[in-house]
Amino acid sequence: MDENKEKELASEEVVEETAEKAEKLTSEEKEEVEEILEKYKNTDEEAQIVTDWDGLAQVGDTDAVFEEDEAETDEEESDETEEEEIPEENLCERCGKRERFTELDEDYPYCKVCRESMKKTRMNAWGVITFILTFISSILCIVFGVFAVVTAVPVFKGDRYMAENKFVSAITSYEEALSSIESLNSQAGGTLFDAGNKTYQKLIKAYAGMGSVTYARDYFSALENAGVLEQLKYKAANEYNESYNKMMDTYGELQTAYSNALNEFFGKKEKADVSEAEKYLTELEELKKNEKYDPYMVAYFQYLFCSVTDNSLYESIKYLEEIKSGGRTYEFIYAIELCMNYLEKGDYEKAEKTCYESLEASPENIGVYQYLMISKRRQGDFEGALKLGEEARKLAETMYTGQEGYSALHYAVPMEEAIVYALQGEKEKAIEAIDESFEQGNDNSNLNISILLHYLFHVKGTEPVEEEGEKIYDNVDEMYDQGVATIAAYGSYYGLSISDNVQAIMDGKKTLEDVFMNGEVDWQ
Amino acid sequence: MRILNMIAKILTFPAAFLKGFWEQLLCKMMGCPVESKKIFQSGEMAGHIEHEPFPTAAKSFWFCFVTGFMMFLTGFVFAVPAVINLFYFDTASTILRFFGIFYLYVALGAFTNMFPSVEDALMMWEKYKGMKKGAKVIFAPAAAIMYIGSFAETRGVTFVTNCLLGAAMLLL
Repeated sequence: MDENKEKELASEEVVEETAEKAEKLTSEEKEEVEEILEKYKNTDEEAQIVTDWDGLAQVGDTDAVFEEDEAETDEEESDETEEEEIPEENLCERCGKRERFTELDEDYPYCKVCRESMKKTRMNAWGVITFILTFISSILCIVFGVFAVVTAVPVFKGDRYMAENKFVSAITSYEEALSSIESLNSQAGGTLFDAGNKTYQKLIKAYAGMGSVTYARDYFSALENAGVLEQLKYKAANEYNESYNKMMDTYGELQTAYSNALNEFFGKKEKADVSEAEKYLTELEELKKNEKYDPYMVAYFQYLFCSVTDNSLYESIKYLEEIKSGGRTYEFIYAIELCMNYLEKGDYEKAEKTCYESLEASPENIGVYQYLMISKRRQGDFEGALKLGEEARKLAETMYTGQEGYSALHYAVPMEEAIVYALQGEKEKAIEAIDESFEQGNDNSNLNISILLHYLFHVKGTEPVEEEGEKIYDNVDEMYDQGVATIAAYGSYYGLSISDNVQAIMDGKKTLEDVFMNGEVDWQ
Repeated sequence: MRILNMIAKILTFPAAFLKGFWEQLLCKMMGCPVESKKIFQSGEMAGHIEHEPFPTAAKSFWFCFVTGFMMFLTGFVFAVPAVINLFYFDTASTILRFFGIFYLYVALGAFTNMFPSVEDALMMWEKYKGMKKGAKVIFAPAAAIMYIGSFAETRGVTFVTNCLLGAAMLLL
């Protein structure tokens, strides 16, 4: 039997005994006893409740249940008390039950309990969702941002060069951006990235600035494909495009119409007199009046007829000057030709002026230095020519090539230096210069000079010369080792045709002075 | 002006929610009771949460500054690829253009909702005035920008400016 039941039975026995004794007592004593019994009954009821709670409490913690119970009772009591006692203006605005917490601020509207719960308010769900979505988007955004910045850096660099009219460096920078885009797309396996229409317009402007807008044809196509040329922001590109199209359409039409006639003049052993081309020149002059044709391109064809006929130097210059009046867009067809014609004429001042005008408009037009050096060389001013070579080298150092250790020096500059050194009799310097030119790039001219100078200063004096139908040449040791020993073999290796003047010097029929000082400017 | 402010908050709702998020987070971190976490509400508190005033100048300043800075940072992160692709490159790629416009919207929204509520700004300004001279000089630019910006934002000036900026970028 458990303790509770024992207590219960014991309490029942006590009540019965007390009742028996009560019958023998006086009325006062009876009243007293009744009072005690009443109290006892109450105690018994309470004991019953305690017993019930106790029974439950046996499952858990007895003390805890009692404390909780008491706390609830106290709270209810206190609430009842507050409701009764706290004036309405002092009630918490949030719960409306407790007194406002006025320790920090007399006007504070909430109670201490509400204040604490407000500190723990759950985050706004929409805010959290937005934050998560923004966070995810920002990761994607950072990836796009990094790619955009990587591409934008060379474009930005190009813009800075453009501001200084450094068109060559600008083009190198812009094309670097296009290369990085191509590389990104090839890695991504699609065409997701692009350098943008504005970059194409910048490239067109840069080429136009250089006077060679025809090189920008791919970028015109890109803008045409994007369908943006009509937009206001591509006005410049659109103007260049229209000019380019008119130029190329005229060129195409005249090429078809006059190529046979030009080839006929060109194929003649002896140059025909300019009067024989008069018919074509008049025809072309008439075409200039037709708005369909680009008059400067028509003038270019007139120049071509003059260039293949004799005694037409003055006429050539006239047409080239006419093209020049069309603006820098035509520089690619007039500048070099005009310079050469003035040099041929012996008008060194005008030749140099043409070069300096070109340099002023496009300070990185390093190729122009070749014609300035030719002018000085033909005037016998060797020091002046070498000084110009130095200037060109300094300019090359400031030019952006996009490749570490790669010089922007045009190969014609060291070639001209080599010719000047050769004329001065400085063999080692001449060989050194022409080898440098060869490293920078090659074409028919510097290959001819390379063969000539190596033959004159290297092979002829120091190495055995074998007769093999033609002069034996071992320009470069490497080539010699490979058994490429003749000029013809060496030439054919590079697709080279030996100039008559160079062959004549090697044969001893002409001197360096005959060719490079007094001969034709175009010695090839 | 309140209507304009409400329109701004509705049109830039992602940024408005984000601003509310940062404000509530800062309140939680600084142990400041939040009276109402409702972000969409009419009046000057549109796009902001209601909270108790901060007890110190530092807390008041940093609350305004950090929430604004986080919005600025968000705007900046989204603006960089958007501006480069749309404005600097004028990208021809449809996908990049779509993402660019979306990023631009988020970025401009973040810049529109960058400033504290007028209530917070006034509180911050009052506390700022009570700062020591050295601190006053250091925090002057930020405090002034936030103070003026809060009024500009409530009157819809930031919204209009950013709308014009976005339109210029896309159309010109």
